[in-house]
Amino acid sequence: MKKLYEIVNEVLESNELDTQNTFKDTDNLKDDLGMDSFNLAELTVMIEDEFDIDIFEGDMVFTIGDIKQKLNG
Amino acid sequence: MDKIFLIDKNTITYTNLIDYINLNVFSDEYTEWEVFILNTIKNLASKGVSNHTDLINVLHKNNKHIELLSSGTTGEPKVIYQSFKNMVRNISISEDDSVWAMFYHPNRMAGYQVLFQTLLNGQTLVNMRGYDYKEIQDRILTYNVTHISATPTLYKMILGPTFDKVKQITFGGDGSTKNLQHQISKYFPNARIKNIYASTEGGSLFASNGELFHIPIKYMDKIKIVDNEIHIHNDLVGLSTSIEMDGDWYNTGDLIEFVTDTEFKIVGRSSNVVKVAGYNVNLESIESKILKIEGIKLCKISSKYNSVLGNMLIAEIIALDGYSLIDIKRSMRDGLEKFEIPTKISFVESIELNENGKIKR
Repeated sequence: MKKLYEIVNEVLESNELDTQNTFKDTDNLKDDLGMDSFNLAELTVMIEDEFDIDIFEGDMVFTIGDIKQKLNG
Repeated sequence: MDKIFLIDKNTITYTNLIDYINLNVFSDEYTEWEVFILNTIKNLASKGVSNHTDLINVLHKNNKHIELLSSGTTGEPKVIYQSFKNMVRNISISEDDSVWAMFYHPNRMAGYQVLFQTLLNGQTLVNMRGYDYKEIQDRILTYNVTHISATPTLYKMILGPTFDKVKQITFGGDGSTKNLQHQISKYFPNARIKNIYASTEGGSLFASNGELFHIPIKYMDKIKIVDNEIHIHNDLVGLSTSIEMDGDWYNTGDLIEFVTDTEFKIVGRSSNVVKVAGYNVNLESIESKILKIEGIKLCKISSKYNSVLGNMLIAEIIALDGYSLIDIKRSMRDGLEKFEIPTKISFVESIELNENGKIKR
């Protein structure tokens, strides 16, 4: 999941939000990491480019743990 | 004769140009563009044109039609038959030694506008088609070009040296903003700015000395704005089986934005509007806004489905050396609304333009 964390930090950094040294599965993308829907759209595109999965298609995704679950199928 | 100057009143009159054509002097050495212009003049000759007065009479009073291709920004180009009268109605006759640069494909509406401008005024025409951007810069300077008509996209690509001999720059084709025009005009310190709105279907409709247009009094009953789109009356529309009319009216699909009660600016095409996060976004308007950002030479915006936003914007950017993606993104955050910032941004080496210098979509 190192690559996922890198991508999340890349989105945070390019949008001038605080990057994280460590991530918890319970970290909420909006409430804890400060992302808005535009940042989430960027995140989904970068994750899709890397993993070929659209994480926001289907079930709702709120946390880092939700993303991991989607990626693990 | 220097074949760069096809219509130079100092060296060639209409009569001897027609003789020249009739003698079949032009050969395969001529480009498709040059042959086209010579054929147009030959076509005029067949209508009895042998001097300047005849030409004005034919173009202004004749109801003969000429075959045109629409620019084909979207979809296949359409063939439209437009009258000479409709095509030349905004061209004024003046006595001067202007040198016009031809950027447009000559058998499109915008190309004909420039060609007839030079023909009607006995001015000089310098071809810019088929040359790279550096060569175009050199040609503008070498041939002392005084008048240019091009899309904002094309102007952006040829910026570099100061073109102080240029007296007039005309914008047509794309939606462009005052700021972008101001930025471009810095490289043309002695030029006045003119805007023109012409469509293949309707001919030349509005001309203005600024960014804003208004409906001329003579067309008050021939042009109407419905839902911010320009509709033109059948009387102004060319003949074609591929023009879909709504009763007596043709919807151009060109979008405007009213700035005052009667004045408006053209912001793009309705087919280029997409919904991003619930907002209606005009791809061409975003391109204009992004082009104002320092470090950006050219930009193409497209859209794609996105599960979070509905649609997302994708930017392809030609950046100047020394500017990073982070710099560009920061400037976008400062100058654009959130929903206008492209979700995906990539740097590219080139962006394909169509025959008329508009971004190919």
